[in-house]
Amino acid sequence: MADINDRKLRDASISEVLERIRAEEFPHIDREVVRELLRLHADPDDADDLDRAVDDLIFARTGD
Amino acid sequence: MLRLTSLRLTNFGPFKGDQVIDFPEEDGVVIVYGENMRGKTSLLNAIRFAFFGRILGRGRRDAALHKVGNWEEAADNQIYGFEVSLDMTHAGARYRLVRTFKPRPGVTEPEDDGDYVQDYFLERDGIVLGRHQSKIELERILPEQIARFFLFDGELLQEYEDLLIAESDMGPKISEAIERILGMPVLTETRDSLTAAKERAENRHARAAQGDQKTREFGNQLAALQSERGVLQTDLERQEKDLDGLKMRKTALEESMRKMQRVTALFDKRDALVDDIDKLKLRVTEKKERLSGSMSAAWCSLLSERMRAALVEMKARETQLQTALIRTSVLASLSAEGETSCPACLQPVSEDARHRVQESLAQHGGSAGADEERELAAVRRRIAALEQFIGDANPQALRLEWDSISQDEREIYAKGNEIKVIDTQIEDVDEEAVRRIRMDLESAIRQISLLEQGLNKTRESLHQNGVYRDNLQRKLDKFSGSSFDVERKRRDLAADLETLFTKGIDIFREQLRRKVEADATTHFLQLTSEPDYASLQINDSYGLTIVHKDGSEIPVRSAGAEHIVALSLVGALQNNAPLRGPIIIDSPFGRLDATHTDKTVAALPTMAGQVVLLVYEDELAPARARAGLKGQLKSEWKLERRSARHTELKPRKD
Repeated sequence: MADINDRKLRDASISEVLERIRAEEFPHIDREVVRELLRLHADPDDADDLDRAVDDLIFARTGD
Repeated sequence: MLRLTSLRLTNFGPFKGDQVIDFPEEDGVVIVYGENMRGKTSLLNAIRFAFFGRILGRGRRDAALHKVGNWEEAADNQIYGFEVSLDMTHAGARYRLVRTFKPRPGVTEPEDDGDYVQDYFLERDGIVLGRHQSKIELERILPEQIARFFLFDGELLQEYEDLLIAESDMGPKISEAIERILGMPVLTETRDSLTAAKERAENRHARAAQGDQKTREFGNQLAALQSERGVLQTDLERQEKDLDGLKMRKTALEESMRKMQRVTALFDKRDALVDDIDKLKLRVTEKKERLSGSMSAAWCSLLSERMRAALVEMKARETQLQTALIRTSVLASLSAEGETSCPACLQPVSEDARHRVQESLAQHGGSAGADEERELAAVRRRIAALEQFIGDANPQALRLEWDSISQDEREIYAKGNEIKVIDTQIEDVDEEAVRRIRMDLESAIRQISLLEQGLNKTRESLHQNGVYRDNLQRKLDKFSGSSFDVERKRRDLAADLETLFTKGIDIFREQLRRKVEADATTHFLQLTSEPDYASLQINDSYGLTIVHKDGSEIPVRSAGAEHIVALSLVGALQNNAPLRGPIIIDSPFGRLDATHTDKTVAALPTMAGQVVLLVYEDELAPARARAGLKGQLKSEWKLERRSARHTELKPRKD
């Protein structure tokens, strides 16, 4: 499990922290999904569009 | 990084007409000198108005904007309203933000904020942006929630102490702002958005189950639970919002109460004195009633000496009469025929002696004892009455009771005088307003308590709902079907992503706390003059405690130390924030001694690229600033008085 005492993780950026957790605990999740989610929320314009965008992202990764 | 390049004020506060202050486009410090009431706080508020359309008054409350326009222009030329124009650079682009506050069309003599209209426009690289785009850009350049780390004064620095007080209302707000400037919202908003996506997936999963005969019952139950969940969540959001509002209100009321502390102490004392007087008056009434009972016989004490003399006289008379009556009785026995001996001495009485006694009795009257007998009875009645009156009168006890009443009355008088003194001290204070604030505060505290109970109930209901839902979903997961298999996969992915981001938040938050602690310690050791202080230690709310070199925590600190710690935190946040900008501080050195002032001046350039200090000369003398900052001091300005209502912004050249 990702640990804050890990020297590498201590100075990691948000995306590096998330990637480390994904790789160790959720390898079945595509890393691009995490990145896309971060990108979507880094600059949200419209809450409704954001909900739809998140659903679309999940639909796309579950074979729909 | 956000950098201010120019500020133009038109009739803003004491800045009559058009006035401009230019800021250098390189890192360093700008100092604006101005004595009290010349407009330093107005400059800070002008920047705040440009960005957020509002200004702060005392007690961190919004102040009325219609009072901000220049008074001379309004009085002499009937020109109302004002304008602020701010030029800045951010992320490689040049911006001009212009915000105006002008009377509504048709209003010639505006009286309150409602008579004005506020408007703004934003240019980026010379192109005016639409309203929607402007809003997004401004939110990106400087979100209002984190303005406290860029625009502040001593009063605001003092608030950081609340981060160390677990039950404070302001602490969580500041923690939230700190997380915002550190970039946490990207993570928390993604997590929240995934929670919502998971719930939408659960709803679709339930609907899919309702469409299949073998899972319909579970689907119906799940849909009912989710519908209930929706209501509970709406309730929870409403309650949290209400609680937030109430806590803000409580904080504002507590601030008002603090300001009125001296006055409220006087009111408290006055109330206690009135209470004491009422009790004393009651006690005096009770004592007087007791005294009145004792007084029915008390008049006797006034005559006691004469009564005692009369008693002595009466007793002497009683003795005389008793003697006379005994003598008469003896003589009567001696004169009686057949009596041969004296009844007193039992000696034989001769016949001759008997005749002489009989002759004497006849001569002086044989009924000589009847008057004395009547008189004796009367004397004895008087003696009994006198003895009773003398016994009833107890002047010593009465005197003690009187003294006690006099003492109480003197106390009532003294307390009455104290009330008069207090009344003169509070004669200009609106007693009703003070009492109203106190009642409002008590009411807010009660409402917060009730709302918190309600919130706990709602959270418990939501938890129960979640437990039932998870049970149902586990049962439903045992069935398969093409439509709800797909929804289940979506739900599971959303749930895994939600968990991933929740873990990311925990780790990233801890990482930020450690970085802020380390950077704040670096700033603090630069700022403090106490060699025994070793570091700052951060708590979960980003509150900082001073740590002694022996490892113990410094439990209490002065207002000056509080400012040093707060400045260290602001510096650390600037170091670690994705969004950086200028620090503009109003009178930051008022609570610092000369050594700390020098150290703070020297350290300011390490805290932010652009620093603007609004100071008065006694707080920071120009020579001291120049010596401390050297090449980091980029320009100096002064606020020159033209009149009480007119200040001019001038470059300082001396």
